[in-house]
Parts: sequence; structure tokens; C-alpha cells
Amino acid sequence: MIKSHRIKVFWYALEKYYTFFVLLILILIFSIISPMFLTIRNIINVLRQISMLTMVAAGLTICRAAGEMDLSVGALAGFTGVVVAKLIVAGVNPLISVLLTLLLGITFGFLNGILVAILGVPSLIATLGTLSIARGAALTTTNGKAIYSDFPSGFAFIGEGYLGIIPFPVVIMTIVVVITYLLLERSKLGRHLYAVGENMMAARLAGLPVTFYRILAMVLSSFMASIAGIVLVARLGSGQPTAGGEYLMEGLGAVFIGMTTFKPGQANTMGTLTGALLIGIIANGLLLLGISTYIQEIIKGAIMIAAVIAAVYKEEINI
Amino acid sequence: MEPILRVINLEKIYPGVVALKKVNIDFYPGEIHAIVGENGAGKSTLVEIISGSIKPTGGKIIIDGKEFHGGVREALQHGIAIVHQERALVPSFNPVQNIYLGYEKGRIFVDDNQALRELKKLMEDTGIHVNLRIPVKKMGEGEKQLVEILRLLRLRPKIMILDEPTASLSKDEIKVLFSILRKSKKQGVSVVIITHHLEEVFEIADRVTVLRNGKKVATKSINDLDEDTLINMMIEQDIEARYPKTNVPSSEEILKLEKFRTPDVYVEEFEVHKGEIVGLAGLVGSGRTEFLEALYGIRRKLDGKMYLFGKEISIRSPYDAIKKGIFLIPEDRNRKSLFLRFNVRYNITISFLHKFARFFGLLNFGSEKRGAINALKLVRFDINRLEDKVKNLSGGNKQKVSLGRWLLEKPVLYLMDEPTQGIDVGAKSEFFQVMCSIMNQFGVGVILVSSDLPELIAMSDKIYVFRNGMVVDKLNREEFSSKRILNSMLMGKNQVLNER
Ligand SMILES: Nc1ncnc2c1ncn2[C@@H]1O[C@H](COP(=O)(O)OP(=O)(O)OP(=O)(O)O)[C@@H](O)[C@H]1O
Ligand SMILES: [Mg+2]
Repeated sequence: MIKSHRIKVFWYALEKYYTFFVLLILILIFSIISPMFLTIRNIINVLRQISMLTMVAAGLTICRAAGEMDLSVGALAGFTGVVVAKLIVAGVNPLISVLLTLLLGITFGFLNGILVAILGVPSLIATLGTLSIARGAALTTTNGKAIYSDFPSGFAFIGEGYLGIIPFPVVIMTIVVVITYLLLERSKLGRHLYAVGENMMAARLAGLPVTFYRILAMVLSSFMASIAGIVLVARLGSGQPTAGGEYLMEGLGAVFIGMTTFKPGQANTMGTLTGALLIGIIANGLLLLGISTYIQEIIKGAIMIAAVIAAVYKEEINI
Repeated sequence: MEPILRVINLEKIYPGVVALKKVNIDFYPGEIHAIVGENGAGKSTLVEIISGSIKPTGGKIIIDGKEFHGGVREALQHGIAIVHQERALVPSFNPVQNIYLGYEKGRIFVDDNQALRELKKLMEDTGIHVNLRIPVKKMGEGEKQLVEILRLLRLRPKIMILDEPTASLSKDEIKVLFSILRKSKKQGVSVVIITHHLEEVFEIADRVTVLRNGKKVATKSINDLDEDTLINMMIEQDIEARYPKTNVPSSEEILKLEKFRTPDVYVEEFEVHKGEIVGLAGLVGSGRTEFLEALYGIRRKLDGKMYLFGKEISIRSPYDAIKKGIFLIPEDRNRKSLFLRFNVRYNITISFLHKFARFFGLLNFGSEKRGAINALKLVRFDINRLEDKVKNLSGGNKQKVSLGRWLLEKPVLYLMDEPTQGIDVGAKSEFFQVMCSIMNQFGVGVILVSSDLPELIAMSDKIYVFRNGMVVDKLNREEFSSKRILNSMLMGKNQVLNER
């Protein structure tokens, strides 16, 4: 009796943390095949590579928790990137430039929110439109060309600095993840966002300000994408109008993979982090194995689908 | 006579919950077999297994001498059809599309007109009428239930299962339904019906099976039973009274309406006093739900004045209403109240999380848990299931969760829309006891919508009768008579006055 109960608990844990185990197994395999893989340097390298993706994905997690979708994040990261670069090149104080750019991101999210929560445009469609607008705005601001410049060292630090041995983007990522986690899992606000995402009608009748929360979700998603966009520019040392595009697909990938674990069926912070790590480690491992980036794309896609199939088998995942 | 359906040693075990334990029942053609028991006793599980939508973990089902191995399609082929306890309709489809889902008319293209003609004939024959042209999501609960019943009847099953079909039907509709069931029985159909209304059991059933905690207590012929024996078989403790009414109305006014008008409802004058239960009677679609929802700020108010404690107020959203202490317990719990994939605790505390939040809105899970447990004890909910997902609860237990949320804070006025729907006899009595004690302690007023007329009459201090969005009659407690209320519901006041 007790034994069978233990086995049940074990299976339950395996199911719930399945994706997490996949991550561990991948780490194991890669570290056996490539001795380079499990070095501190490489681990830090992976973390730095996924830092901006994770910031975008954290925003998307909030958005999905509230039941909305945001396709504009990647394009917005690109747009805010060129804006901050342009401001700095024009001689504006770097700190002010960053703050202004974040304000721009928030405004953009607010517009998304108005479209979705007040005008009633489904978020999938609304943000498909604003994706194009952000992309176009980025291209217009820069005339389609990259903005090169020697950024002041304070700004460059955001992308290239270190705190001890930890790259600064990883520090920012950690802060973003911790805040998102506290917000979604521990706070009243997070509980309300999930409630809106689960059953909007019931949330309204329970007295929650549903419109406000939907707008807020869109704002937070844009806000985090803007942070990623700024870090990206500081890291690249140039403002690229088409940069950031891959964050949409990979960010969504991280969120969906994340929905298979920790809180199966719901977008959640720890899951998203797991998803981002999975994506980063696969890319890094394949690179170390010398597999071409083209093949990497295919493998990445296949692994994402495999992870989700395994989880969907047990729990429904509504998108 | 040979049984048409035999359930042998049937067992269903969920992780941590035994829903059915070695249950044996025989069902015969030409009988109406009622299944009764407390919330969570396993009634729905039993009939869901018979109708193929849940797989048992043990035991056998024999239909017409052949073993049945599950599956909804297979059950239908065996002539088994069911009306589920929870609605199973496609919200954006109209009744025709819903009823013919999977059985669409036409060879290549769907021919809804042919279906429509068939359906009209079926409505003529059975006397059940619904609006066939609007999507079911625009319908009230009662009308949706009728759509489900029509779908069942269209299949012409040999074994007809109805899981709490009367829960959202009006008196008249129940009468029509019962006459259909009796007719089917005469044609040799085996009817299985689940209900918490014992008077219905005695009215319609030939035999009764009582379930308790997943086990069968007994199957008895209705002639060997009376109401008290049946209640004693169902529940372990005694209940004091089925409708314990201990509230004491005072003359102090809480809510007053003058010429209150919404797109659906017009109420000339309306008053609720402290400690008073104001019952709203009416047919399905008579505007009672719309009225409550307008008071709660979900529906637009066009005109008129609303006073709370003598001060004019306006309520634009549920948020406003809750801040003023007006709480709505809505009908249609799955859509309007519950977060099905959340656990019970989340569902209980969602409206009052600020009580458990500390700095930066971070929640104190310990105090949240204690708060939820206190509320759940009031509705006699098993607190061991605090962390279970709501979608895994039985229908009645879901309703308790929906009620429990509003026991967390002290209100000024409760708006209750069919609050006892699907709740068992014991819990119902307990619920009213709790409600009355809250009312007395805090001077709360209650507006109670119930289609259960005996309940409404037993509990209310005065009753307003609604018809087509208007109040057609108002009765004080000493004037209560079900005949007068029914007449007003059906025909309006003038006719009644003429009759008297
Ligand atoms: N999917 C599930 N997972 C876990 N437990 C379940 C699940 N479905 C049902 N149960 C449990 O099985 C028990 C029997 O439930 P069932 O729905 O059959 O009760 P019922 O007699 O129909 O009650 P009610 O009168 O409230 O409708 C309950 O304790 C319920 O919580
Ligand atoms: Mg049930």
C-alpha cells in the first residue's frame, strides 16, 4: 500500500516535472559528449545568450496568464533598440534615453491594451497589426540602416559589463524573472491576472477590474520586451532595425514549453525559465557538437513539439 | 422480467477519492429508476460510466445480456442517451445545430432546414418549446436544459438517463418533462433520473437507489418508502428542518428602488429591509436573473433611482457593487462564477485577496488558507479537498465553492440566483441555517431567486412575482399560496384578481 503510494507520487512528480527532467537529461548528454559543455564559462555563456529571450518570454508569460497573446514583442524589441540608439547618438543623456525608451515601450503596450481590452480586437489580431507597425517604425526611424556608434561606457555596461563573473544582462534577467515570479505566483495581482485568463466572465462577476488587468498585461509584456531591446543594443553596440525578430518565436516557444511543467496547462514563470534554458542549451550543445545552424533550427522545432506532445497527453493546454 | 441494464461490482477510483465502490444495480425496461444521495455520493459518476464517457476502474456493465466496454458512440449504439448534469452544448450554435451535432442532415451539405422541420414536429409532439433560432449562449439555464432534453428525446433511446434535469426548470416545464418520461416508460423505455428534490422522486419514480459515499445503500420500491426514511438512508446525521428559517426582518430599509428600468426589466417599486428575505418567483426568462444582474452592475440601467440606506447610489460594475457590500451568487456556476482549473482555495478567496495581502500585495498563504477553511466549513465542504481542482468536484460541491466565496466577507445585501441548485437536502438545510445566522448577526438582506417554489415559500418574507420583465404580483408572508403565485407567474395579476 505504502509502496504503491510512493510509486504514484513518483509518477506524479515525473509527469509534472517531465520537461524539467528532459532539460537535465539533455545537460547530461551534452556534458558527456562535449567536455567543454559543463564548464563555468560555457554555462555563463548560455545564460547570457538566453538573457534577452528570457526577458521577452517573462513578459509573454504574464500576457498568457491573463489569457492574451502578444505577437508584437520581437518587433517592439527591435524598435525600442533603434530608438535608444538614436537618442544616444543624438547626444541625449544615456540614462534619460533609456527611461524615455522604456516610456515608449509602456505607451506601446498601453495602445495594445486599448485595442484589446477597450476596442475588443482579439489580441492575436491586434498585436499582429502592431507588430507590423513597430517593424515599420523601426525601419523608418533608421531609414533601414543600422545605427553604429561608440556608446558611452555607462550604457555599454548594460550589455557588456560584469558583476563579478556574472554578465550584467544575466543580472537583469534574474531580476526580471524574480519579479515576474513574485508577481504571478505570490501576489494578489498575479492571482487576479490568472483569474482573468481562466474565466473572464467569472472574473468580472467576482468584482475584478478586468479591463484594467488586460491592459496591464499588455503593458507589462511590452515593457519587458523594451528592456530586452535596450539590452540587445547595448550588447551589439549598434541599433539594428530588424533585430529582435527571433524573440517572438523563441519567446513563445519558451512559454509553451513552460506550460508543460510546474503548473501544467498554465503559463508560469518557472516553466518559462525552463523553456528558455532548454532552447538555449539545445542551441549551445548543438553548436559545440559542430552541427550547422540550419540543422539546429530543425532540431529545435522538433524538440519543442516533442516536449509539448508529452505534456499535452496528460493535461489539456488551451491556447 | 429480464433487466435491460445490469451494473455489476462497478468501481471508480480517482487518485485520493473513491467515487464508486462495488455498486450493483439492475435496471428494467418500462421503469423509472431514481438515484439519490448527497453531493459527491457518486451519482453522476455512475451514470457517466453507464453512458460511456467515463471508464470504470473495476466491474462490469451488461446491456441486453451483452457486456458493454465503454465509449460514448458505443453507448449510443446500444440505445443509451444521457442529459449530463453540466451543460454540454456548443455555445455559439443554435439549438438545431446543437441537437443534430454529429447527426447533421443532408448528404454533402448540411441541411438545417430538414432538421428544423423534424425538430418542430418533435416540439409539437412533446410539448417542449424553445427558440430554435438563437445561439444557446443567449439562452437562460432553463432553456438550455430543454435543448439538452430535446436532444436526448430525438435520439429515441432505450435507456434514458437524466442527471438533475429539473435543477433549472420551472414547475410547468417539470410537469411537461414528467409526462414525457411517463409516456416513454409506457413504451418500454428504461428511465434513470437523478434529483435532489424528494417530492419529485415520490411523484415519478417506481424504484429508488440510494448512494452514500460511493456505496449503494439500497434499492427500494417507492411504495416501501416515505420521505423521512429516504432522507435517513441518504445522510448520516439528522437534519433539524428542511427549511430552517430563523431570520428576523426589521423595519430598517436597506435597498429601495423607484421606477427601475433596464432594457429587459421594469420594476415600479422594490424594497429590502434588514434581515429580510425577498423571494422572486417567475418562469424561466421572466427577467429575474436580468434584474439581479442589473442591481449588480453588469446590465445597463436605463432609468430610475436606487437607494442604499436611504442614500441614492449608482452601481456601474460588480466592483462597485462589492465595495458597497452587494454580493451576487450567480446562476450557471461554471461560466459565471468558477475558475475550473484553479483549486478550491483560489476560487474561494479570489474576490477578497486584499484581506490576505501584505506588503507589495504579496499573499500570506497561511492566512489565506485559514480564511478559505472558515468559509468552507460554513457550507459543510470537505476541507481536505482545499487544494483540489474545482473541475474534479461533483456538481453540488462546485455550487458550495461558488457560495463559499461570498461568506468570506460580511455583506449588506446578498443577491442569490438559484443558490441551492444541485445541493443535497442536508447541505441545503445547513446553507439556509448559515444564511439566516449571518443575516441576524449583521442585519443582511437577501434577494432570493429560486425556481423551487416550496423552498421560496418556506424561506421568503415577501415574494415578488415576475412575468415578462415586470412585477405582476407582490405577496406578504401571510398571503403566500402556491396557487396564487403560480397563477401570477403564468398569467399575470389581473387574471388572478378576476378569478378571486
Ligand atoms: N475527475 C475527477 N478527479 C477526482 N475526483 C473526482 C473526479 N470526478 C469526480 N470526482 C469525485 O468523485 C466523487 C463523486 O462525484 P459525483 O460527481 O459522482 O457526485 P454526485 O453524486 O453526482 O454529486 P452531486 O449531487 O453533487 O452532483 C466526488 O467526491 C468527486 O469529487
Ligand atoms: Mg452529480
